[in-house]
Formats: sequence, C-alpha cells, structure tokens
Amino acid sequence: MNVVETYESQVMDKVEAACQHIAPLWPLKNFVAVNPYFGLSNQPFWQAHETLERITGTGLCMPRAYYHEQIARGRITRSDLAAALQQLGILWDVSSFEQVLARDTPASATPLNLVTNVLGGLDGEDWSNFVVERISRYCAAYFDEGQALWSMPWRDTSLYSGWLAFTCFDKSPRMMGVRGMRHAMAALPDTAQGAIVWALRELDMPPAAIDDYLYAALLSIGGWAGWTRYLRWQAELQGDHDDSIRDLLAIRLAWDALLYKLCYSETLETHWRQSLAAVTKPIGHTDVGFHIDAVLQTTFEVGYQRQLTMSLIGAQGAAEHKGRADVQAVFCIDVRSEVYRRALETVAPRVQTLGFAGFFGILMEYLPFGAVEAKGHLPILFNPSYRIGECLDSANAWEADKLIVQRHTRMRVAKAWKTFKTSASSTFAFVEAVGLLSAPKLISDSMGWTRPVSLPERMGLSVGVHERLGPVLTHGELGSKACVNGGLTGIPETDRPSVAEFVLRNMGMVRDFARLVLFVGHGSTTVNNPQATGLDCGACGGQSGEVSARIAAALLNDPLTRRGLVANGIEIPADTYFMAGLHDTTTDEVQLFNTDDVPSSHTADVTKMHRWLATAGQITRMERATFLGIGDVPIPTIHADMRRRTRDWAQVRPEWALAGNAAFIAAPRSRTVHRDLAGRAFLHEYNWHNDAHFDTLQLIMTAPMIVANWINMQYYGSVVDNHRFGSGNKVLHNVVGGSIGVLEGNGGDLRAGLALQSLHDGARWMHEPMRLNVIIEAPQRAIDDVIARHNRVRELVDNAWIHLFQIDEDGNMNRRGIDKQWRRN
Amino acid sequence: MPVHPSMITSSLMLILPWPLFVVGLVVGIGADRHARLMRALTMGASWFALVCAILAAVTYGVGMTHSTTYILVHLPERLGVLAVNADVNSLTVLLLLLVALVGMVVARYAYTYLVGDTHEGRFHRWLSFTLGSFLMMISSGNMWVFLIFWIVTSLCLHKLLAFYRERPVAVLAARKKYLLHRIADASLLVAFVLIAHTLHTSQFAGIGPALAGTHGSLSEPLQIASGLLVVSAVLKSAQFPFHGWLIQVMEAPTPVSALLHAGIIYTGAFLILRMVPIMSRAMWTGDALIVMGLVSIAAASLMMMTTTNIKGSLAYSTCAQVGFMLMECGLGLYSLVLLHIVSHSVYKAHAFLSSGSVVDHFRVPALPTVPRAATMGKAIASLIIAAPVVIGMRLVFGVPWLQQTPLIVMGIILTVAISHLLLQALNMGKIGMKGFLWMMISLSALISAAYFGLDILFTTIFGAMLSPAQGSAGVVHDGILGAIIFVFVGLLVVQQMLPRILHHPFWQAIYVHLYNDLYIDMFFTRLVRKFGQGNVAEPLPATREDDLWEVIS
Repeated sequence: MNVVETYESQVMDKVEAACQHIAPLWPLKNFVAVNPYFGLSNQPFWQAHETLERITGTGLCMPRAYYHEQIARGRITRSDLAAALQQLGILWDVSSFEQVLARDTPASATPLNLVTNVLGGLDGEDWSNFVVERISRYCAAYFDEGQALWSMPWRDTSLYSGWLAFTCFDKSPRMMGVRGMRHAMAALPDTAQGAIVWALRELDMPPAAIDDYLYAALLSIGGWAGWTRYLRWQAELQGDHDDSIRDLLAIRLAWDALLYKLCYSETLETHWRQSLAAVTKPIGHTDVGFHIDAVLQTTFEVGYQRQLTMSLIGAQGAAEHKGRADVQAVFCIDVRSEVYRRALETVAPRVQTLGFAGFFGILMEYLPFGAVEAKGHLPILFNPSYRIGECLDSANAWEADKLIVQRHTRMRVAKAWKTFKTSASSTFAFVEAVGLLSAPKLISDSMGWTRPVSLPERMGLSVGVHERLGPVLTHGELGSKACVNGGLTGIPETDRPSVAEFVLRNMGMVRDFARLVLFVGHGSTTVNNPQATGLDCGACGGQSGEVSARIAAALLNDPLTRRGLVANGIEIPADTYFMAGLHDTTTDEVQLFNTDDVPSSHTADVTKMHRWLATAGQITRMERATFLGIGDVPIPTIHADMRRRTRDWAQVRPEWALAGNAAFIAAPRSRTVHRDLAGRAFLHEYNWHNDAHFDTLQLIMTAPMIVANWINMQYYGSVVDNHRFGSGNKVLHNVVGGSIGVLEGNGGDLRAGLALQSLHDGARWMHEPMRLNVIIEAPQRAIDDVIARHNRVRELVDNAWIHLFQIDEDGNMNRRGIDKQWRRN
Repeated sequence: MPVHPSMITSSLMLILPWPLFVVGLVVGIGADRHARLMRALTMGASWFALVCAILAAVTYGVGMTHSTTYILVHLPERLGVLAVNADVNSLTVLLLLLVALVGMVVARYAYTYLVGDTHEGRFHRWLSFTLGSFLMMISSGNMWVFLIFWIVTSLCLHKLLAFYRERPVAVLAARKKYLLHRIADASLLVAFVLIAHTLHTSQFAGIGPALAGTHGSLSEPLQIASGLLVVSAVLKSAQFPFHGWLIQVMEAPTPVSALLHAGIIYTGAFLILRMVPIMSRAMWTGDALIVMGLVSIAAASLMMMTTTNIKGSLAYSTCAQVGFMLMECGLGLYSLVLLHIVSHSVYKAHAFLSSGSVVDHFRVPALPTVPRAATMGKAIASLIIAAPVVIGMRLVFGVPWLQQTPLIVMGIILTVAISHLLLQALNMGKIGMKGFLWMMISLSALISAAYFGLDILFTTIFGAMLSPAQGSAGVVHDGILGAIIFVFVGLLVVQQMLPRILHHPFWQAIYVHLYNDLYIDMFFTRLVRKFGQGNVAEPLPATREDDLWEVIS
C-alpha cells in the first residue's frame, strides 16, 4: 500500500469516527427521545465536556450563573459540595473551593473555527450561515417527503452527486459576490470520499486537526447530520448501509474548500493558519474553570442523590404481599406513571402496581385498518418479530371489506381535495368557490370545538367505527382487501406460550396473580403540535401504547397461551382476567378497553376499578396542576383546564412530559411504595430472587436503562445547549419536508431535541440537567457481570454518563465509583 | 350632537377599535411587567371589536346607514378636510366584520401561544395597536385619516415582524418591508394630494359624485394619481419582485403571520376597492394591475411548488393569491375581489394557525399505491370534460358570459382548476378510476355551483357600490387577457407533465432557480444590508446563547 492510499484510508477512518459521533434524529411522526451525546459515550463524561467545549463553545454544563442561582436558592449546599469534591478526588476543601469560585470569571469558550467562520470574521458577511442555509435547503429538497409539489430531480442519485448537479445550476454564490463557482466545482471529485480528501488537501489540514475539524463540520449542520445518521440507523437495523451522512460531510467540507479557493487572499490564509494552530495546540488539563464546572455540576447531582437516598432508605425490602392483591396494574416505566401509580395505591391500597416498558414485551409492528404498510410499535433498538393487524370487532368479513374500501376511497378523495386546494393552477378557484367554508372551521377550531385535522388513526372512518377496531391476536391472513400486501398477521399459537413467558418473567409476574390484571399503556392528547409524538410512548416508537397493552392482554387471556404457560412453570389462575387501558398523560384519565367483553364474574371488579381510576386521576391532576401554574384553582376547574389543553391549537405547553426525570429504579415496588418521587423516577419492577440466571437484569440494563438514559440526555442536552441539541422557540417552528422535522423560523439548520417551551415555563427551568441516577436492587456481582459483558452499558457506567447505585438486602445504597468499586453511599 | 338612530352603525364602526388603542397605547406602557393583564385585555378588546362589528353589520342591514363626522379640521392648500367619520357601506362593514373576526381568533391564539415569552406583554401591546389601527383604516371615510392609519398600521406591524430583535433574519425582513412601505406611503400621499386638488373632496364617498359629471377619460392629474395608487397597492401587496419579506416573516410568531396573511396584506387591494370610481375609468392602470398580478401569480405559484417548508409554502401561496386579487381588480371584477379577500382571509388564517398539524397528514395509514400515468392527452381530456361542467353550471345560474370578456377569462380559470381535480382521477390507472372519476365530476359540479352562486350573491349585494369597470378594448388588452389564459393553462400543463420533464436539463435549471427564489430576495437582502448599515434601527443581533439566556433572566 502506498502512502497516498494509507493517507486516504486513515482519513476515511476518521470520517467514520466523526459520523459515529452524531446522534440520530427521528422524524416528527416518531419523535422519540435520543441521547444527543450518543456518539460521545465512548469518552468519559468530563472528556466529552471538554471535546464539546473545544468544538462548539458549549460543554456539558450550564452557564455559571445557573449554579450561582442554585447556591443562592440553597439547592446546592456546602455539605453536598464536600461530598462532590471527595467524589471527584479534587484536593480543594469547601472553603478554598468557594474562594476559587468567587475569584474565577469564566472565560467565554471560543468554538472551533471553520473556514467560513474565519472568512466571515474578515469580510463581515455571515458565510457560515450562508453555507448552512444552502446545505439545509438542499437537504430539505433532497429528503422531502411530500411537502413540495415539484420534487427535486436528483433524489435518485446519492446525496453528494445530487449536490454537485444542484450546485452547478445554483447562482447563489454569484449573488453573494463569489465568482467562478462553476469553474471551481469542475475540480471536485465524483465521490464523497474523494471530495473529503480533496477538501482536506486544499485546506492543507494537518493530520492532528482532522478529527476535530470533521466533527465540527458535521455539528455545524448538526440537524441534517442527525437526520442522515437516522437513515443509517434504519438501514443498519435492516442489515443494510446508508452513506448519506458521509456525503453530507463531503458537501460541508467542499463548501469550505471552494470558498477558501474562491475568496482566497493572503490575509485569509494567515488567519486560517492561526485558527488551525489553535486547534492543534495541546489542551491544558489543569484548567481551573474546568474543575469548577465539574465540581458544580457534580454537587448539583449529589444534592438530588442525597434527597433520593433519604426518601428510599429504610423502605422495607422485598417483603411479600400479604395475601392476594385485588388488582395488579402494570404501567409504563415512564416518569409520568410514577405520580399516577402513587395516587392509585393511595386510593386503593389493595391494588398493586408494577412498572414495565410500555410495549409490554411484545416486539411487534402494527398494521392499521386498511393500511398496506406496517409501522414499528416497539423500542427503536429492536426489530419486530410479529405483525399485528387492526380489525373490526365483528367477524363479518363482508362489512370489514366494505369499510376498508370506504376508507381508501375517502382518503383518496381527501388527497385529491388537498391537491386541488394547494395546486398552482387550481388554488385560486378553490378560494373563491369554497374558501368561505374555512370561516366556520376557523371559529370552531379557535374555540376548541373541533380539531384542525382529524386524528390520523381515524382518518377516513365513519363515526363509531374506530371504537369497533382493535388489534387482533389471531394468526392468519387479514380479510382479502385488507392485506393487499399485508401478509400474515397475529401471533402463531405455537409461539404464544414463549412470548407470554417472556412478558411475565421480565415483569416479575410469575405467581400470585390477582383476579384482575391491567396493562396500562400511555399516550398524550394534543392538537396542532408538530412534536406531539414526542409526548407519546417512546417504547412504542413514539406512538400511543394502546395497541401494545391490548395485544398483551389478549395474549394472556388466550386459553392456549395459558395452557402452554403451565408447561413453562407459570400458572395463571382461571379467575385471573387481563385487561388493557390507556393513561392519557395530558389529562391523567385512564380509559379501559373492551369493557363489553369482561366476563360477568369480573364486572364488579371492573366497576370498582373504574371508580379507583377516576379518583386516582383526580389526585394526580391536583399534583400536576402546581407545575402547570393552575395549582390554586378549584379541582373541577383543574380538570376542565387540562381537558381544554388537549384541544387548544395554540397550546405550546400541553403537559410537562418527562421534564424533571432524574432517576431509574429497578427494584420491587415495595421499595418505593408510598414514597414521593415527585414524578422524577422511571420505575421498573424487578425482584432478583425470581431471576435465576439474571437474564432479566441483563435485559433491564441493556434496554430500559439505556432508553431512560437517552430520554435523560435528550433533556440534558436540550437544556445545556438548546441551540445545538434543542429545537429553540416553539412559536417559530416551521415544519419542513413533510414530517421530517422543524426549522426555527424561516430557515437555518434542521432542529433536533426539545423546544424551550417544553423545558421552561417562562420563569424557570422545569428540568434540572442531571445525569441519570440508576438504582438497582440486585447483588453487586450480578450487576458487575452485566457491565462486563455489554459494551454499551460499560461505556455508560465507566465513563460516568450515569450514576449507578445498588440497593442491598438491608435497604442500604451503595455507589459504584469510577474505580469500579462499590462504596456505601 | 344629537344621536340619531340612523347613525348607530357609524358610531359602532368608530368606537369599535378604541379599546384596542387604549390597550396598545396606555395600558401597554411597560407591558412586559404585566403580561397577564395585557393578554386578558387584548383578548377583551378584540372581542369588543368583534361584537361591535357584528352589531354594525346588523344595524347596517336594517338600514341605519347615516354617517356622522366627529372631528373636522380644514386643511390648507385646498387639501380638503381631515375628518373622523366612518364610511358606512357594504364594503367597509363586511371588511370590518372580517378583520374583527380574524383579529379575535388571532388574539385568542396569541393568548396561550405566547405565554412565558420574555416580551409577552410587548407582543400583546403591538398586536392590539396594529389591529386597532387597521380597523380604523378600514372604516375611515376620510382619505387623510385613511392615510394616517395606513402608515400607523404599517409601523405597528413592523414592531411585530421584528418582535425577536435578536434574530437577524427577522430584523432584515422587517426592514425590507419598512423601506417598501415608506415608498408606498409617499406614493399614496401624492396620489391623495392630486385627487383632493382635482376633485375638491377628501372623502372617499365624494369621489364618485365628483366624477359623475365628467365623461370620457380622466384628467391628467387623476391619471397620475391612479398610477400612484397602483404603485402603492402593488408595494403593499408584496408582489413579485418585492415579495421577499413576506416569505421571511415566519421569523415572527405564528399569530403575526396569520394576521398579516389574513388581513393586512389586502391593504393594497382594499385601497383599489375604495378608489373604484377612479380606477374603473383609468384603463391603462387596469392593464398594469393585471400584468403585475399575473407575474406574481406565475412566479409565486411556481416557487410555491418547489418549497419544502409549510409556512414558506403558505406564504408563496398568499403572494400569488394577492396577485390574483390585483388581477381581478385590473379586470374590473370588483365584487369578485371582495369575495376573494373574504374567502382567502379565513382560509389563510386557518392554514397558518393550524400549520403545526401538517405532521398529522403524514401519520395516516399508508394506502395501496395506484399506478399513475400523467400524459398530455389526459390534460386535454380533463379540459374537455371540465368545460361542459363549467358552462352548464353557468347556464343553470344564468350568469351572462359571452358579453363580457373578463368573465370568459374567469370561466377558463375555473375550468383549468376543475380539470386539475379531474386529473386526480384520470391520472390513475384503469383500476378504480371510473367510480372515482364520477365522484370528481360531481365534486366539480358542486364547486362550479358554489363558485357561480357566490359570484351572483356578491354581485347582487356589492354590485351597486363596486360596479364593474367599463370594458376595456384594444390589442394590448386582448393580448393581456390571452396571457392570463396562457399562464393558467401553462401552470396546469407544467404540473401535469412534471414527472416527465423533471430530468430534462432545462427544467433542472428552472427548478434550481425557482427553489432559490430566483435570487431576487438575495439581491434585495444585500442591498438592504448595505443600505441599513449606516442607520441601524435595531440593536445588532446578539449571539444565540444570549437569546436563550434572556428567557431565563
């Protein structure tokens, strides 16, 4: 291998590494939480802080003013400070730290300069924004899912080749006063790899600067980088590969190199060299400001840990329940369930609640009534094993076919109507003929009597039909019309016992079944909210958890399943009945499904349950009202206000969702029952005594714990660096590319993460940026074992992206230190 | 002054905006410190305006149409009088009702939408003020008062457009609008001076009678005045190539876009409607309006087709729609213009306010794909089917048509629109197409019926006041009418043939240029930036982190 090839392959390795640094960004139709620092988890937390600060100017800490405010409020105390200093192994004592803090004025970090930044600094034009705008516009057209009627001609070529063709016609640089673009573009190689190598050469990039430069280049167009990373993620899940992200990097670098060439001057070269020299300069690790940041953030976290430990300590251990519970209700681990579960247990002490990921252990994709394409209904980490179809309750195939044809026709007419409404040649006549029909719609939507657009899942269905639809367990082909290419749906009878066993064992439900067992999924109700799916169940791929709960209940009511389960050692009593429900997190109402099918033996239980759920909802709403700023109004008003939020098309804060999340607890409910965790903890049911080979522990630590970490970090990133990892001001959101994502205002980069309105109520942050505190009740050896075997888990724990605690038999909390040793907390 | 029952309408029209003014001017001082009060009062004041507008419509309906003057100042230099009075006629009453309705919806929207914003109070202040002065402008019967509120509305709107002063693009767009509107102001001022001098009246209502005595073409000063009115109207309407700022105002919160697109952008068309007695007699200005409108229709429609974000798409569509109104003004179809203003206003207000719902359209269950084949033959077939539908409906409703060329043009535009609907069915393969085609044909018949029905309704109600222009004639005029037909059929053909021509290098180039807004806005941006560097009205953009921290402090 010659020198040139070696250089190229080295560069390509660096390119891959830079691409892996970027976190994927899911589209608005499945807006699930993603850890924006996903690609940095192979670095220790504080090293990642430094990396980000060096490249973007904003690390993993809040601005100093925030911590000063916490000190003033008493949220950060001196004793917490002492604990943090000790934990970090820093030699300051509290008072000397306070002196250092008082003296230190944080230097504003300078981000890494790209060529466009240097150029902009010289001639006053905002070249960086210009380039981001060009690329963002190009990407929006390339990836558009149907907003534009005239789609871009180069969508069937690669992102990079399309850009070459597009930019050859583009006169924008000429309008900015740059001549010779077309000529200069002729020098560009045909491939993205070639372009990257070419650009780095043109810029005379020293090898030591390449890593940072590539990462900075991708972050400068971070939203679209996230989108292309998502495309790669999806492709890899299918066993495929997608290189759009590399193409995007090539485009960004090509712009830099082209502008450098075309705007070349000696001053530019001098400044550019200086800027490069700053990148390659070794970093001093003894920076005082860095240590202060680390201490303050850690103290902030220690304060919460202390509070949490106090509320958990002394809780009784895995004591067995006295007798059989009246009802067992399984909720999603989502922090919003914690409040409701606490309320339900207060109302009905003989109800036992459990926490499990909201897909209830069934890896499925869902085929809506009459649809030809199934949608994943499971955590984004997995591939589906089964396809579940939505069917009509009656077995009347003729009626189902009729309704499906009706649905198709109505949706086609709606589509034709929409085209008529928006097309260039017809929109004028549309306005004059039927535009006035918008007047009543405008009034009724404004008053909240109607929804601007009908619910996607009810599109094309007559009133009352949706209530008759539900997921079906039966294995086979759906009605003739329904499965145009639908294939088989349902769960085969032979698989059912093993699927059910997987569900029950991981839930920790292997004996002592109550008469009534509820699976409660969750979903939110909002209108006109582009990021609405972000409020739904993440474990169901950013959708309502209804279907998963219903199919789980159907599976466990199935006599065949139960017969098979006996052979696997799980005996469900004949008088146990499973039911599904949906927790509306906006209003905290819980709705139960298929109440007509309840056997007469259980109607009394269900009636009682309905009453409990209603009261629990009432209590939950009162607790949440404080955060919504309506805490001081009468209870019926609270309820009415929350209902109004679900219909208000101008509501930018329908609910606080997972704001405040800070802990993940995998332990028996008896550890946490009646403890006020303030809706900040993910609660996963886990009793290690029932987990012979620690398979469930492994599952918990590799799936729900990771998901909780992702959610936690999404909030973290959106708070500490909303500009890069959050989506800015919601009142400016502008949906782009159909349902790809939002722009803030007129243009700029695609925005990832959460809007400021989802984090801040106008007076204060509703979320405290803290790393997730994971608390597991299991032997230390077993936990260590899982950590050792799973790279992803090991990175999170050893690189301190999460704080890990263990609860021992006596209810004591032990912390796992960076030295991998367990210490009593 | 004794209040006579017949003056109730006039009084209602004049008191209607005052609470909004009070909220904007008086309560609005230090608004950010009492944001809750501001939002409640703004909503209250806009409800008051709506209730008054409804009452005024009722009292007008029962015949209380007498106008009364409250303040009267005689102006020097034969400029007439400056008088506060309302023009009580069907046009002003209808538009007051419309704007008050949209204003209430927007205020209601902003009530929750802006909660927690650092400058929430300030937003409501300028919203009230803008709405109040716009309503005042509409009802004003005096040209000078009209001019004052024409300017005030624009200045207040500027505050709303540049609401996020830390966003450079917002400030830039607002500044572009600012410059264009000042030219429009100057042009309108000169036009009014000429009119007042020549016709010895400064009341809108006085123009018609003053001209009634004259025949033939207008005198020279009035010709110039009508030209200047066209300039003002075109500049106010954000017509191509001055449309850039309109597209960029999504840098302001959604309710501002809604208010702008559903109300204030029609100021130009409204001016023409108020000046119908003059405009209907200045033939060449009509042709100028048609040409300006048509260029905007063609350019903005094509740009809209390439736009990938929802708000941008809506904004281009507004630009084209306002172009269409100006074109109708030029054709002398004034009652149709009014219908278009009202319909488009409610339609676009709804579209903007609900723009966040667009995602729901992409969450619906996937339909089985139907093979589509778009050919030129099908486009022609659709036109052939559409024509009898439109002609038939026209006959049913008894709309005269062959007598008036503008109506023939409108008929063709309707035919083109309907054929686009039919193409949705025709482009499908043979499977399932037949039933669908019949459905589309019935839908077309309904649409045509609605179109002609509303046409007749509006002509009946407003025809007396907005009598259509005398038919223009001549080769130039015929050429222009031909151009209209060409543009609409052309749009239909381009859209139909897109899948086939997409990859042709010529159309590829066209695509790129259209998607880049034909570079016109980029050119203006650089111009304005250079021009604006000396007199920066707003503080220079702070860094984005600062803007985030502003929220917290």
